[in-house]
Amino acid sequence: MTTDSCFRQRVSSCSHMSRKSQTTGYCALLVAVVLAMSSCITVAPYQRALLNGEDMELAAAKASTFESNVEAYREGASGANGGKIGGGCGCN
Amino acid sequence: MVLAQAESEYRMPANKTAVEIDFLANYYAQDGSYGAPQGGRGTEELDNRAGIVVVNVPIDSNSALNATLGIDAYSSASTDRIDYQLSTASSSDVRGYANLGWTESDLGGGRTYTVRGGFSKEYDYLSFNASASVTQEWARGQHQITAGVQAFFDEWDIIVPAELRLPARQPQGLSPQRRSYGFSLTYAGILAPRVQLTLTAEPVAMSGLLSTPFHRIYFQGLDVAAYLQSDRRNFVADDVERLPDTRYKLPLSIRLNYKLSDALALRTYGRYYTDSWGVQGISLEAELAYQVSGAWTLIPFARYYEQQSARYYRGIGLHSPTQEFYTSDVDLAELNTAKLGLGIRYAPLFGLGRTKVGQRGLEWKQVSLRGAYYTRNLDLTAYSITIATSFSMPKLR
Repeated sequence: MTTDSCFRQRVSSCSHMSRKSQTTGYCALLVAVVLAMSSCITVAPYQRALLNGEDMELAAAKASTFESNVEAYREGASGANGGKIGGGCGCN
Repeated sequence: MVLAQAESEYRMPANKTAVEIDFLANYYAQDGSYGAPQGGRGTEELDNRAGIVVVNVPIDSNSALNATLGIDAYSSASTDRIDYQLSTASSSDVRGYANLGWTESDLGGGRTYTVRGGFSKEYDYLSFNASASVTQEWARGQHQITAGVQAFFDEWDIIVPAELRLPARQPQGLSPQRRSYGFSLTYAGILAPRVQLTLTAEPVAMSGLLSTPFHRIYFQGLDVAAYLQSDRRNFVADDVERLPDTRYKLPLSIRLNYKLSDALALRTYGRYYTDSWGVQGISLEAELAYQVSGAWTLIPFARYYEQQSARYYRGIGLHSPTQEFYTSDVDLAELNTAKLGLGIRYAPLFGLGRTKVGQRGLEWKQVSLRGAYYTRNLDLTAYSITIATSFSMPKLR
């Protein structure tokens, strides 16, 4: 029984580590694919008319500012969204 | 040779001459039963009224000044229970904050520099912040990289639960300072005439008092059932929340926008987060902007988030006094949340109205309303309503 529980502990810790490695690997692959794609296609300024509207802005909508603050307060994660990174408030 | 000439002749767009002003107001209300000031099982009832003004003033074609003023007025049933004398000053508070920024662009070199500073003050917390960033674009603006740094210099006014304020029980080792330093790196690129994205990494290092001094901790041996059925006053907290004095965070995000048609845009966002306390989280968001007519746009949106617990979290009455660090703050527990909402924007081509102010016009450009419902699997529900409006003050000829 001791052997079995030790074995299960080792397997579960190995699974946890491989999940973390998998996530890191997928992120790195995604970044590589996107950068490779971006270097292949040229989009001239006159072709960017559809990207200029408010709904295509590469930032969170201004009206969602308060919601992202709430999410930073109520959840353990923060950052990488133009909002709070942890300082400036008595929060996580 | 023609392409090289076109590349060398390309300049970033100059600043527009109009002053832009945004007003936003928000009402937020929540309720739950895992309040940390009561050891991790208490009311989380809270409501907040907030307002922000953002002003962007172009100084010339290269430079701009940006100012933000904000205020939050909140009432909180959980902080009202720091001392169990209900409906006193601890039950409500006002936070004020302001930021000022300067942007300078090198239009020919495709470079933009930004510096910003500000402060935030609430009854037990004072914060000063500073940030700087530089953006470089290339390929005629198709790609850009932004590198930035941020720092927060914060100070707590340490307030512990009422029953721990006696000299014999006063928690030791709480130093009032907190420091946060962030570095961000963002790539923004246009992948196709209808697709653009950003990739962001924003590692953060925090140090100092990273726990909350009025979050109670009850060790093993607490009769939890009796505690929950009582009015809590007779239960003396064993200690306050203790967390490491350093925390290293790494959020990684991707934002992808796709113009599906002339009237339909899909905005998506995903973030992976990990930190040195063991918290790992993934959030996924999507918004669909549907232009119903020339002036009206409907924006339904959804968000899902899940996280793994910090290694120092346990529920009420489960911590051992031999542990070095402990928290029963459910914000650091294993949890998942979901958000659904709808936004409506009215932005007619020539605005909602216009008048003249001195040498400038005043145009009321648009108004939008946004409502969101937020829920957590650990008994918390909340809703948020935001109204936002924009004005423009162009120079009159």
